[in-house]
Amino acid sequence: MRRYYLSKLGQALVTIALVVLVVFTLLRFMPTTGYFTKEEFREMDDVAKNAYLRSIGVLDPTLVQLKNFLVKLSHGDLGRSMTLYPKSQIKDILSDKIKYSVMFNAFSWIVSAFIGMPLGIAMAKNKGGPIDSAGTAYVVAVRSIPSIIIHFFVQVYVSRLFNLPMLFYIDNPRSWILPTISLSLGSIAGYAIWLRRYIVDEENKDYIKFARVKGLSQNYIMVRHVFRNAIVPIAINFPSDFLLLISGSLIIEGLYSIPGMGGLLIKSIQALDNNLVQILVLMFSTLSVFGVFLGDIFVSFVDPRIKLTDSPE
Amino acid sequence: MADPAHGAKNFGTIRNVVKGLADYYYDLADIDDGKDIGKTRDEVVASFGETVGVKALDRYTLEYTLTGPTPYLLSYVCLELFLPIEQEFIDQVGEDFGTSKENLLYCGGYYISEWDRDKLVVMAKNEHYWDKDHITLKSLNFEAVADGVSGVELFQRGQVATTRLTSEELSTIKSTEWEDYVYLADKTLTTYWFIYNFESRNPEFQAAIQNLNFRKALYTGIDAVTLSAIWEPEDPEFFCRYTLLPEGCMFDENGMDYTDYPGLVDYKNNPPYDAELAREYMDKAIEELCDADGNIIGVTPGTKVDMLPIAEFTSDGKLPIDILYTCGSSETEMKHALLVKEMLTNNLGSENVNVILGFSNISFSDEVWALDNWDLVHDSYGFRYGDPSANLNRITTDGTLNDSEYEVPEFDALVEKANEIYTINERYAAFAEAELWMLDNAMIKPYMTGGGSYRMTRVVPYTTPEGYFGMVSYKFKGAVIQDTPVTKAQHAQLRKEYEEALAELAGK
Amino acid sequence: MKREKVFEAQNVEIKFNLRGKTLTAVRGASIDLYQGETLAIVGESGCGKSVFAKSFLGVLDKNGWVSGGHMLLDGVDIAQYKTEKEWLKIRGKKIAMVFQDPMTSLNPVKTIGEQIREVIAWHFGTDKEASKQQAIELLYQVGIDNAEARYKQYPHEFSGGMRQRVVIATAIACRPKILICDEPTTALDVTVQAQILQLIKKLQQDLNMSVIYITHDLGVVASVADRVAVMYAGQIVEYGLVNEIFKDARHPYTEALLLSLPQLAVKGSDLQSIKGSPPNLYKEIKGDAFAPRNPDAMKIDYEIEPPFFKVTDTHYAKTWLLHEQARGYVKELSKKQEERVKATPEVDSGSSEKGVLVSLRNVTVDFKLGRKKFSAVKDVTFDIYRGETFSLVGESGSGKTTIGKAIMKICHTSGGDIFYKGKNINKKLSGAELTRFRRQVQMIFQDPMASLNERAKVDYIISEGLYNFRLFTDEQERKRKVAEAMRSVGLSNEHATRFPHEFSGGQRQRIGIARSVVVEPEFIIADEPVSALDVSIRAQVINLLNQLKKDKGLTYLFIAHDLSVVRFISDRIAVMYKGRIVELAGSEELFAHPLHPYTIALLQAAPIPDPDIEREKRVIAYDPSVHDYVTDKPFWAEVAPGHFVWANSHEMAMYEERLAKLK
Repeated sequence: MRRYYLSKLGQALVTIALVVLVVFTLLRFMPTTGYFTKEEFREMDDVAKNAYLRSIGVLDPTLVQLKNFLVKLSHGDLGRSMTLYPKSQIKDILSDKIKYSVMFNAFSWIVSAFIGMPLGIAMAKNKGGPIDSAGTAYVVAVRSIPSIIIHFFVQVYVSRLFNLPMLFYIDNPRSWILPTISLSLGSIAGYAIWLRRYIVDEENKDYIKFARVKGLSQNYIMVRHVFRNAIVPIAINFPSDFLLLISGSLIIEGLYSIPGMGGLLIKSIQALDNNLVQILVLMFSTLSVFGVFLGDIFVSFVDPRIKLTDSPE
Repeated sequence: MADPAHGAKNFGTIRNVVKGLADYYYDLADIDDGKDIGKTRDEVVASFGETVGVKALDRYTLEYTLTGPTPYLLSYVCLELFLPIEQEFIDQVGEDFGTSKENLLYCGGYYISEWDRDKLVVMAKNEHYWDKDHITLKSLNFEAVADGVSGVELFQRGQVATTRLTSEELSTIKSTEWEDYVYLADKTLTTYWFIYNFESRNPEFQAAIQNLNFRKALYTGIDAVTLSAIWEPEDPEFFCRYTLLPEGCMFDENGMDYTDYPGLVDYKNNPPYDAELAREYMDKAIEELCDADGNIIGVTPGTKVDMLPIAEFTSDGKLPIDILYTCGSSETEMKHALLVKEMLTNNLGSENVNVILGFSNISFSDEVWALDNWDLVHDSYGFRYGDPSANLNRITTDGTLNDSEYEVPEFDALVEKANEIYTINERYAAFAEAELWMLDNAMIKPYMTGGGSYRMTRVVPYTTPEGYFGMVSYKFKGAVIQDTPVTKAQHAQLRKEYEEALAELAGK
Repeated sequence: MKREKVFEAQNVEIKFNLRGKTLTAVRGASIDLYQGETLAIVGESGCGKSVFAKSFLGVLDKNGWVSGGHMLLDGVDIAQYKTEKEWLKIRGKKIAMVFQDPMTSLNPVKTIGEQIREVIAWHFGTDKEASKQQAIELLYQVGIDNAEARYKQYPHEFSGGMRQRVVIATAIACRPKILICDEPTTALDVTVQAQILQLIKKLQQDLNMSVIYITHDLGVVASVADRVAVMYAGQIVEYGLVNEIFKDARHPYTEALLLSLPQLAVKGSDLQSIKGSPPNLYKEIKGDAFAPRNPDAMKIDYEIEPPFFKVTDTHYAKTWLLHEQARGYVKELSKKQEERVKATPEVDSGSSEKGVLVSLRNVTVDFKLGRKKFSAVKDVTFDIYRGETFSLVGESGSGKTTIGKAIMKICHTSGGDIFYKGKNINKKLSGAELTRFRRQVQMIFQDPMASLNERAKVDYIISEGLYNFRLFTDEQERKRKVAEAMRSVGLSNEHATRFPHEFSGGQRQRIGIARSVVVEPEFIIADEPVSALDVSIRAQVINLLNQLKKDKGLTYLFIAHDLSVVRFISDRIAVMYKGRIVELAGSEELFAHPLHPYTIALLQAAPIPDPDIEREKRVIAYDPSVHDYVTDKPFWAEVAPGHFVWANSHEMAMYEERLAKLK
């Protein structure tokens, strides 16, 4: 068992190292013209251009840059942003931004779990009935209407209706409501429809039928047998969800003007902000890989059939 | 700022104006490049006080020694590059300069009191400002609103004082009460123009573009209004510009606008577009360029023109003349290109010109400029300080903006001469003569101004300092905010008053 | 011996709503159940027996309901129960149920102990420790050793038979008066099946329960039942004591069902099969539901539904044949039947010594599971002669299917040679050789549903082989060949344009067979071809396979676990145990003189549809430790002509002695 964890851990680390290395190298293949606007490119002479590129540190050979990156990283220095937030400490940028994304993702996680799961259960219990139909209509609507339209609707009309602020302000908790709703709409649908599906699947299993003939009540079966088993495929994502709380939503953070992590990676790539891209890729890949890793471990505790060993007993 | 290690991108703008600055910069750049110039970096840096014409005389006086007379200095020093900073402060904050509100220095009417990255900048009134009585707004909130629709909605709810609208957003409030509040922001100093590649690898175009009549055919064959309407369907004429330099920002001692100088004023006021005239020019050009069989003289048939990744074609040395029009791949750019193609084909005749469209997908700099993959492009330039030299100096034969690679010794001489005249009226006259030469010879075709976005605001227009240079759009001294949005009528009225005041001022 | 009646179902009618249509699954069925007795409800799939039994517990699927009749338990009509609360007093406590598949009856993520304990705690409110103790006792009671440790284990750590024991322990946890066993052993191997049946019998006596068996397997019925109720198309058509049903069946359906059993048939002749398929329960059924399938049906059978006629005090049948007016006709029929039996042709024993077609020499197949290696097939050697049916029997996991795959060359081997027509094929063949081989050797699979492409028409499915091997010159020839193949398996031409889902299980298996025979193979590997089929359909397919063999001179390798079918169809049989063939002999020889202890156990365990034999039977469990192979190594040898056995020299001597004595 222990050996298995160690070898999995090793694999995870190798994966992360490879991802970082590949991204690091690819970034260095980007043409440096990207660092200049059209006008700057022609206005500046070669000396000035070179001076600029040197000042942001892209003229060193790739290996030297990699060495510097790793050495700094080992000292806990994430470096400075190059172009997106010139000269700002990446540490500061991230610590500023992560808190917003974590805050909203946590809210949304709680809201969607507390609404989505009961909804899913209610739909499954009421299969074919009005609650199920209404829930399905909701899920279909959320999934099929382009999300941007729904978010606009929430932002503009719902805020009008309840007189809520349209933009987010950290010191005004009322302004947290709409972004949380927007963020949760999709995941409520997700939780509801998947949980419904897993519960319905479970209910058709022989052992649930057997539990019924054992004389256990419907509620007891639902709680002790169905729900517990149905939650497993959903729970496998919990560690990942938890670790990736820091990744913000591009659309919603933009819409409500939440200065979180949403779109930061995209923006930093567009700005050729190598330093920032590297740190973000390192961070996200680490969290993703460990999320999956933890999910596996987590499930091995929940589901006894899954044994995390590299050889059969 | 003058140290290349700090990578100031726009440093070139002032490098040659202040005495000793260019040498100082290049010495350091050479050292950084590993060249031996007989001095160490520390020596050069230490010599700044002696070699460079910047000196702090006392606590409140800074002396700049210039390379020569600079009559437009006032419009120049409002560039942020000229702002002084305490050495002690910069030594203390080092690389962190400007990365937080504490690592900045303030001398204006406001200072940053709150800075939430990507979210909000709050500027509070500076109680130490010399003219603090004229600071009317106690604090300014600059808020990030990623989406235009939200911006409009926020404005309608009275939660923001001013907002921009795209054409789509404008159409959504058309025929509502809000339509009356939308006004067009003024045009900017940026000029859009077409340039031609005089050293093109496309032999047909290379041969043709040397011909004045051909250039005039292009000059008269493209309708600026049609193109301007892509961006400004409401009032396209207003945003057309037919001079190289912008109007309304340079006035001589008599208050006369630079663009109203003799010769230029005709260009300014007369749209050059004339399809019939264009055809005449084209016919003349063909007579001069081609033999009786329609072979372009001096062009070897069957030359392969390799302008990949933009285009690749074979030149047959015959009419029609191939013209590679290169542009970016955004929707508006493509629309623009198709309109240009249609106008040239219709007005000059498809038997005479063949416009090939080339689109750059990734990087215009890498794919077009660096590889010289173009015959005709449209381009735009800002105008950074209040003197014709700001842009005319850049389009001489050796100028940094001469991507056309034309040789214009006459123009060079005129510019050189103008640069040495330091009385404004004569200086403007000389520059006007130079610009006129460029226009007469149709070396560049200006057609449109920048700016002109739709706005709604509650800030009463013309209460803040006006001007074209420096950070004008961020000046809020004296700003007055009214409860209701500014209507079109109010805006027009105030604009009229402003222009009258300006004219009166000029009259003095 | 008159015992107390514990349960009575009267005229129960059950309906289902399926896609807007109403299906009557049970049409007025009645049964009585007496204290301590075992009642078997027998019928083919779709006859409504499971639904009927489920209704006793109120656990019909959500779209089904009891629309009529009474169910009396302790004087209360539980058919009137509506609420869950009412049913909870019955379920588990008074009536318990065991399902068919032990692999899926237990929650995989809970310990088995917990799953037993929760029932006790739930019904009696027993505290945790006490209910745990009771659960452990129950585990011992159902024959699970070391129950304290196994209490904490999860279902996947148990074998199928063990799981079924756990399920039974759960079912009897509350000492129910009635235990309903719905096909409790169908998913198990024969030897395990015998043990489970024995366990249920023992528990029944210990707890004084009444047991209702729901099954299609007449062998099981003969072995366990006191009384039998035969169900057809939602009705009980005949019921009586087990001997009365097996020896003196009166309803034509019961008779046909018994006749279609291979155990009762004469080898070499056709099995009696029932034509057609059960009636559509969506429609109203007029008269005797079995009449359309009964070649000897009378006119009245089509018009008026027969009442129950009394045969004896305990034996009733719902057929007009028992009406006094039909007496003459009955005599006529029995005469006809006697003639039919007499007309049976002699056993065709001419299949021996026609030359070897397939020959395996020391074939071994190893699989790797992680780092562990295990042999699915160990050092197997045998020959299959041209024109014979050679059967491999054994429990699941014994390696019989692997051998089939190895011969098909769709499974690697780790050693040994396989000769087909004298040519070693257990090596890389050239493309042309492989194509020829693939055409000559075809396979028929167990699950006719899964092995047919659902989206292709029958015409294409059958033609696939023709396309693959380019066995036709023009479209006309292809069509002719397809039509020919379809006719040979008893499908009509019009079926060609339909899709597989439009066919019943038996017809699908015919399509599967047609697909194989159309390329004119010489050798067919049939992997459990009839296991998924109902008794009456099974007989049809077995007849078909035999017919094809005769007509086309085919050779079969028949892989099966059902000994009755194997005995009927095979010329020679090889018994496999854990990857090894332990005994090989001619079919009759093997059944008459089994030598290897495993073979004996296997033959003993197989239920025989004769209550007299079954009642006398002792189940012997095979224990590999009887062999002492440490010093005296076993080997593969011919103990009598054509009779091979895996044994060491000591055992061999013993076997020879025994054979000599028997003969």
